[in-house]
Amino acid sequence: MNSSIADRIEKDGVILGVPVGYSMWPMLRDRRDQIVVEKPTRPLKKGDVVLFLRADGQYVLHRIRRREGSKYIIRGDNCDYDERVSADSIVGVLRGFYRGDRYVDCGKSAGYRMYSALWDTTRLPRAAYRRVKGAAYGVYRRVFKKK
Amino acid sequence: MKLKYKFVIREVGGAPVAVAVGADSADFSGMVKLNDTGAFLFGLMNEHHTEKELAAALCEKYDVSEKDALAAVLSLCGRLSSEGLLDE
Repeated sequence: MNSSIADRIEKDGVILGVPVGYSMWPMLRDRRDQIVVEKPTRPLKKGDVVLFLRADGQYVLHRIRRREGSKYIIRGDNCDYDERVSADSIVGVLRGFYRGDRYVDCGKSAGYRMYSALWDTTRLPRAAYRRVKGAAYGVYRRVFKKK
Repeated sequence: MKLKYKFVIREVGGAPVAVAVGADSADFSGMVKLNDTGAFLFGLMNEHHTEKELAAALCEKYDVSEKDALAAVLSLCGRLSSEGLLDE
């Protein structure tokens, strides 16, 4: 049970895990939902959510935005920055996830496909909203919470 | 006996698998592959039960003798204990 995630995917072909963090919010909730990640068996494409291994040994589950040569440009749904990831760092692709008790199949769910398409196209307004919200909260703190 | 962490059981690749969720996933991030009997017992072990109670539940659910049921319970508990998953 102590083998690495990459080893488990290689051995079993598919694993069940729990997402940690908020980078894929609102699709995946920190330590609440469960993800089903499988070994990639087809060419990866825009919109796929992939599990990759960073140089520091951290596993990250983020979404492919596009391909540039031998690299994938990848970003978390709740992130404002891209990462350039080499194909050999990718150890798995999200097959589906349990949100509460409901299973969402990434390949079959129409709702998921719509979310995946909309999330990238609405990226700029969402980033602007987060900045405005952050600035407004900063003003609120200075005005109402400063002693 | 009772499981040390809060687990949920999901079907992956046609077989039941358990993972710890919530704050417990920080302490145990692996997954436990189960068979149908194991999944049934795992579901019960989120609450405290004795081996005999688990064996009796197994007899009620499946058509097995008390002796075989107890042996299955002890086998599972031994495996879970060796992995540090039991709150004994």
